[in-house]
Amino acid sequence: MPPVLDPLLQHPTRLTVLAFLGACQEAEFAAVRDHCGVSDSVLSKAATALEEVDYLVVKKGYVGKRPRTWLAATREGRAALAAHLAELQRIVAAAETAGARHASAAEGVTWPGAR
Amino acid sequence: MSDSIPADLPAVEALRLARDAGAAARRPSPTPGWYGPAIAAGFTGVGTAEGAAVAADRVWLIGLISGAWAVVSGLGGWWAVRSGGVVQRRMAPGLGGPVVLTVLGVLAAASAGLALARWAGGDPLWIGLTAGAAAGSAFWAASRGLNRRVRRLREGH
Repeated sequence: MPPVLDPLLQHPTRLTVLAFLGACQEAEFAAVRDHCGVSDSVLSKAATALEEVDYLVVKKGYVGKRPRTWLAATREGRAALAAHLAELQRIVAAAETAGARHASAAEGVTWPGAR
Repeated sequence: MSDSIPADLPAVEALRLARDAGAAARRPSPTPGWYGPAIAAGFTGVGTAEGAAVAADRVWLIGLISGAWAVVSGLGGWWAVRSGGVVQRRMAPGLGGPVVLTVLGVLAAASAGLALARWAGGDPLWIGLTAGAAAGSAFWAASRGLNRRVRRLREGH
């Protein structure tokens, strides 16, 4: 079966959240929110969607007396992200190859009336 | 970016978003301001306590004190790492060497402090205090240097 894009990761917020978490061990909710430039509720919704498919885990904890929420990508989430990015790269490479082939074919065309 | 609007993301744009997010998550954070002085004070306290243990002829306490310090400083490190909001999977490139130099610097300072205090004829309490304070000062200075390096790395220099 050929690899396909993960429909869940075709949304920019969910993709950004998983890519951010995939590059670190874990991150605080506020750090992810600030990077994504979204509101708490939007990040919460994205995190819930990713948590439902086991792509990330949400941990509640404390730093001192302050309650903090930590997000971490799971092994499944990292694998899904890697597969999604590989497929995206394949699409981009295929488009570039097709574009180059089209350009070289166009160069060889002799237009009627051209000398 | 809103989660309520379905968005079909062009492949190039999606790759750029993922690359930027990954780079942001991997960017190192400086340790909090309290970390250097707190660990320096801890080193001084441990040195003093171990010196006092030797003075009281209870050398077995040194292992206990060292173990307790390992736990406390480990918790401090855990807390400091998390205070930046992102816990890295591995050390950022360019920081491994300075971290090793920090450890070597602390050991060298402790040894130099110990040797100097012994040479000056100090009692075990003073020898421990001097070695601990020297190790703590070296750690504080090195952590300030590391933080400066981390800030430069974050700014992309």
